[in-house]
Amino acid sequence: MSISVTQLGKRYWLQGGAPRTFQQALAQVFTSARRGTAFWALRDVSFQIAPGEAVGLVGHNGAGKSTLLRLICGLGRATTGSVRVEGRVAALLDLGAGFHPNLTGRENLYVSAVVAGLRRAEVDARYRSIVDFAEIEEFIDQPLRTYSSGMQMRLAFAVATHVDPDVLIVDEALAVGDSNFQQKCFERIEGFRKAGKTLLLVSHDPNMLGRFCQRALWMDHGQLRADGPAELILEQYAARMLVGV
Amino acid sequence: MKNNLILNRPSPGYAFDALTTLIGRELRIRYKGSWLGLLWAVLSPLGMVAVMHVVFTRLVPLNIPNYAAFIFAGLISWTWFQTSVITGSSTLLDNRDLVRKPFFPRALLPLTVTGTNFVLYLLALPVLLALLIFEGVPLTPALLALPVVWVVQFLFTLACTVFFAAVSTIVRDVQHLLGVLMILWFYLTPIFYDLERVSGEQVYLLHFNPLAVLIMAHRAIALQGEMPNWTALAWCGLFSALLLGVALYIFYALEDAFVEEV
Repeated sequence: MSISVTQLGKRYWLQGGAPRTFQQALAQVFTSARRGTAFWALRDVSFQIAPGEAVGLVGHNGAGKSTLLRLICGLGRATTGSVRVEGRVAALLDLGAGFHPNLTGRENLYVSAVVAGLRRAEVDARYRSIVDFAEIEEFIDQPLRTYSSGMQMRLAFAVATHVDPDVLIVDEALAVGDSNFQQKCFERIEGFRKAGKTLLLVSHDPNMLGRFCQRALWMDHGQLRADGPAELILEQYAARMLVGV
Repeated sequence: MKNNLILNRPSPGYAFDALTTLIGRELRIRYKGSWLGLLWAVLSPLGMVAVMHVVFTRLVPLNIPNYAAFIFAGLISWTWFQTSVITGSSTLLDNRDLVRKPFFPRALLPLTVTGTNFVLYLLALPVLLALLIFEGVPLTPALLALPVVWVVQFLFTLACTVFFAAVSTIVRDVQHLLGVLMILWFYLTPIFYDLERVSGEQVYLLHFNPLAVLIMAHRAIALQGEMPNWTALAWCGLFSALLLGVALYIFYALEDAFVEEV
């Protein structure tokens, strides 16, 4: 399995929290947190994604999509259950991690690609392709602060999609740049899918998911409400959204 | 969940690449836009030495021979430590985006800080040699023992940097406290004075300060041309290794908390 999620639960304490392990207790000596009201952002979520599957994750705001993604990416600790991810993972969650405004596009490109998991030699090999994709050739040696926000996002996206992951996790913030560049991004994601990579797309827009995914997961109030063929699930979800529940 | 790191980052080669890239980034950020750039790694300790030299040979004479080289040896060692710990205490907060980067090995951040300041230390080192020659102190083969001192100091500095990096994400007051603590530590460490010449009943306690051991090792090697006190250095190394173990344990214990806090 590419991604295995087993009975995953995540509880937040709305005011502080109670220690469950020594490690948490240690953390709390410092935060002087108190037990508050429990809020389960995720509860008993289980699913498996096989290598090469393209899966869409839908749900309204606050349904637990982001919490689930964060746990899959190893950010924070599950309260119950477990997550297993196999292979190199790239997450388009936090484009441009490691970017610094005073460094040049080239310097930022290297830092951000290495931080995303590439060896330096691998960045050397992909340098040309990244710069071409981002369309910033003539500005590559200018400081990043002189870039427009569109240029910065293009560079960030270009780096992120050149990591050549086995598993690509894409958050909804895909509205990068103009429609021309967006088209390129979609083509790139389509390329990943055709190359047999595992894809997990998150959005509250059923149309975008329908474009890439055969299967969809529907999150509702922290629980997995439905898991099945994308067409079916997305249709149900869209219908439910129209009703406004 | 920590398994993910191992699954995704099997190679120590990657850690090396990431570390060197991040150190390069730190150095570039620090000196970009300044006219003299990396030269400041040499100029700022020299400036400090000039000030202290005036104070402690003219205003309050301490009568220590070869005083410029004497202070410089202490000062670069101290600066490596102090700057690492102070910068380290905010590195997780300053690099929020890296901390929240999925699968990024976060312990690299304090390691980067310690490594960057070690590079700056190495850049300042030729000035120590120049001062020794200038003051007529012979350069001896004892200098070859210096890398052993570096290893011990690296361990100790890294341990403190890792500890304060993690703790200050949870208790933000630590950063302010550190400023005061460092002033106290500066005066308790024989940087501008000679510990052998300090008298008093409790003075022996000051010998337990790892930085005193490290700085005295620097001076034995550079100024006296002697081997350092190996016993003291070995204890100091052992203590630092244990401290690093504890610091890393705390770092990983707090990791899940600070990923959600920063």
